[in-house]
Amino acid sequence: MAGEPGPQSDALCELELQAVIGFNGHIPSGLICHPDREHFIYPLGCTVIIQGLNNNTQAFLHGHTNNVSCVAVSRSGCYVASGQVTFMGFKADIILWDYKKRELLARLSLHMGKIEKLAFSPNELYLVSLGGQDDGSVVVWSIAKRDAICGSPASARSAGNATVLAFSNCRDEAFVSAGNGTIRVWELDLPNRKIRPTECQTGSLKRVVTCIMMAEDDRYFYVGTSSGDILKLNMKSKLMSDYGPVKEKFSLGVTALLLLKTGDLVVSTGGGIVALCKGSNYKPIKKIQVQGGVTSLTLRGQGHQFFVGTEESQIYRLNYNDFKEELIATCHNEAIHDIIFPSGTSDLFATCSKNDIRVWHTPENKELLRITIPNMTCHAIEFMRDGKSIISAWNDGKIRAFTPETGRLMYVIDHAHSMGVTAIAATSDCKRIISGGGEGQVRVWEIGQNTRKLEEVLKEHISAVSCIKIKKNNRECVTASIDGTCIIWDIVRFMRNQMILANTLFQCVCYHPEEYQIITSGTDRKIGYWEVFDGSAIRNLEGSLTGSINGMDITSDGTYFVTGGDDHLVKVWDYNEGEVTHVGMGHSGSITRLRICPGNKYIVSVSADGAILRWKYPHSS
Amino acid sequence: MTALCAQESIYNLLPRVEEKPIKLPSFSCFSHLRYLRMLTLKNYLLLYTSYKDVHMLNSTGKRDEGRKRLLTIPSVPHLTDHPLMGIQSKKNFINTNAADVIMGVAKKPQPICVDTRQGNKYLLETSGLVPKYINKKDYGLTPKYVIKRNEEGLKKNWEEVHHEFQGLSVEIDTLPKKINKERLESQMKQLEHDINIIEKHKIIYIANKKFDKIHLENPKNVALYQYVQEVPMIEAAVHMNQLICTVSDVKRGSPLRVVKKILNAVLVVGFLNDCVLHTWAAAGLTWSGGLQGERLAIPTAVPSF
Repeated sequence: MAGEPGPQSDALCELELQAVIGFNGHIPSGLICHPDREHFIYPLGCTVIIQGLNNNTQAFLHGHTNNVSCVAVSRSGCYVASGQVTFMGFKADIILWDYKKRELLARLSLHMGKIEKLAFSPNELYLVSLGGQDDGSVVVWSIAKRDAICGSPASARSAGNATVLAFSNCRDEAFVSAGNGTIRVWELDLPNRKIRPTECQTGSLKRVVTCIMMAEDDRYFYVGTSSGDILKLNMKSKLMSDYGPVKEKFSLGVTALLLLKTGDLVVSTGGGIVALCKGSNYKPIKKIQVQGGVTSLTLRGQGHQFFVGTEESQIYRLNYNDFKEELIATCHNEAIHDIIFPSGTSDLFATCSKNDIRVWHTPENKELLRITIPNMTCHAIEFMRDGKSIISAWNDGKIRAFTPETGRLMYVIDHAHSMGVTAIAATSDCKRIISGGGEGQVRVWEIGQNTRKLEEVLKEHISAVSCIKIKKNNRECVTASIDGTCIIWDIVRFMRNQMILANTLFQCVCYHPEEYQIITSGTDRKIGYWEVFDGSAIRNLEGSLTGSINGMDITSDGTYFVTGGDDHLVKVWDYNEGEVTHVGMGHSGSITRLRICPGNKYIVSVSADGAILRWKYPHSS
Repeated sequence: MTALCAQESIYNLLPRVEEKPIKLPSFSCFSHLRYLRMLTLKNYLLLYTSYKDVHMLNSTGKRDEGRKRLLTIPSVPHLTDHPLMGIQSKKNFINTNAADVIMGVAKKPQPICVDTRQGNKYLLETSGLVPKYINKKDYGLTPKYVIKRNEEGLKKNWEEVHHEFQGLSVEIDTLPKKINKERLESQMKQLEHDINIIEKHKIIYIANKKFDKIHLENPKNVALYQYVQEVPMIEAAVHMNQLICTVSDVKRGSPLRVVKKILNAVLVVGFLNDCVLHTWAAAGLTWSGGLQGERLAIPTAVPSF
């Protein structure tokens, strides 16, 4: 929608992105501490986020058209470069950013498919980029001219492809690339516009290099390998001087290395261990365990403090002296399926994904509570109206209720649905739960002090129920299902009142606050307005041009509603006019659900890549 | 465990903001004096007027406004301002007090009651022997809020039923639907009727119990035989004292007038015994309530009186 000139595109306003809770922990050395020691830089989807270390400020570098695959920061911190992935056969962009102004300086495109790695020269004269598997070339760019100087295939034909890159610390004309069975030192010959590689010899050792760390004086460099050992190579002679540990290698490979001023090495592994090793024999002196495999390790300043990013999307702070980890940021690392605000407050919300439910504090973007059920996926959650429990729908067919402060399990309804519970809602008097399952049944449960009783089974849907909404008087509810029907039920007499049929997989449904009309949307990308009384269609809007609409929410006064879906856009609609008033761009995955907070201050949207985005609600006034 | 869990609430996760209560200058005797001592004469006068304002406002019940005004008044006395010292009154308090007592009007003795031969006495006013409350103006009247609430309650009921009625489907094709519709209609009709009654008549008397005979010579019996009506909404409107009062007022008059007065002022709703009606009928009176024949069975035989 953004790039297309349309009749209304000039009238469209952009939604203001206030905060992002998300960190893509899968990118090797994606988390970088900026040389000003006050900011982090990390990628999330197709944006690069600059976040304050001590305050909650966030800046966003938007510009990539697809997921960011690598980030680099120059030594002084003036420049940031980021590379992206793209579709096969297309050119992937490198974007050079001005850090201070947070703006795009240049778009450099030569590589095909993916940018694997980027590195700045020590005096910020050159930028070296390494293409992905399908590209396999290394290119040197002039930063001043913003143009390519020269390129070359990254590795010999007999070797595997290179994945990592490091510049010399003293000279602008030397850098190292390494990968599967290849370690090369390159020399730049500027007058002839050539780069010339020299293969390093490692003898009989066959290793896949996962990270490089250059010594301060350029005499040596260390490489970490997927076998779990560290090789030390001489820069001048291009020979391996020693390696280790010989016994008890690091499990799941060395993923990141840091060389401290003292000559000690900080090693992180795919098994989630961060270890401090003596430079001589590579034996760990101190080690700690963090959650998930470590993918990035970055120094703050000279090494009194460093930061660890893991595959489970957690960021830890480590102090060198006591070598203790401290969790500073968390986010979901799996697709988020639902988001819900407790009634009456905008400052808290809960999200659910695979393995866990998390409760967040909205103004600080901080995780307050995590409820973990290993290996299970939570499809939907709901706060009881009185705020005394969180009820959740899980793919093992159970409904679980948790206490909201400690996250303890209050009760479980076993075998609630045979093919997993897919939707859940609770009446405002907290006496009933209505659940929908993968098999298409809608069940009404009576919740007592100590009892949970199945009150009625409503069998009309023939496929998974995707969304349930209850009327304010608790006498009627509407369920949307992916079998192409929406049913309005009388939940006093347990009868079907109306059925809406459409050629779509319904993903979401909302009551207009006056409850005479409902709006639905689904994979046919249409937004339908329907009469509750007789189920007749009132209006049909084109909700999106490209992707299914997965989430929808309406304000409490019913004048505006928001939608989000596979087109990665958050759209704010005027209910009466049926026109988009604002569009929010920033998601890099399919939006799964979104909500307007009860105070009409924010819109919070969650996506399949695990990001939570908070937008300013534009019509708050 | 469930009992423990029940205490938890999601709202407790919200970070607490501690609120400091705003402390207003209090006018307890001691602190007030100390406060005044700090001020110069000028400020004192200013404050004094505002203080008077507050107390005057207090008596009329507009306390908050007074507080607000007071908050803006006090200003810190300047360093160079000195309070006036050593002012003494030359009034001879002994003489003036004595003169006041001599010249003043003597105090009336408080009425007391002595009920034992030992002479235990207590104040008459609080004893309950003096008819104080029954002389009040609104004594025996149905409080206005009760009447209002009853009317509103009925109207609300009517609205609910009406809403349900409006929500009926257009086609009434099945028996249950028909029954449902008829039920709603009869409910609405009943409610409309009740609303009409309540709006039409100022006072409603509801008898409590079947009774055999009414003695007009002793009209207090009427009050004794109140009965609870079967319609709960109207029940709240019962106010037995009204009738006692009315009757006792005209006790000295003729029996006929008593009945007339009752019938002009009082509407009888619900079931009444035949005898009562007959008594009134025998006295040659007519109904003023408009309910005759609807709620009351008119006796066929004339019972003995």
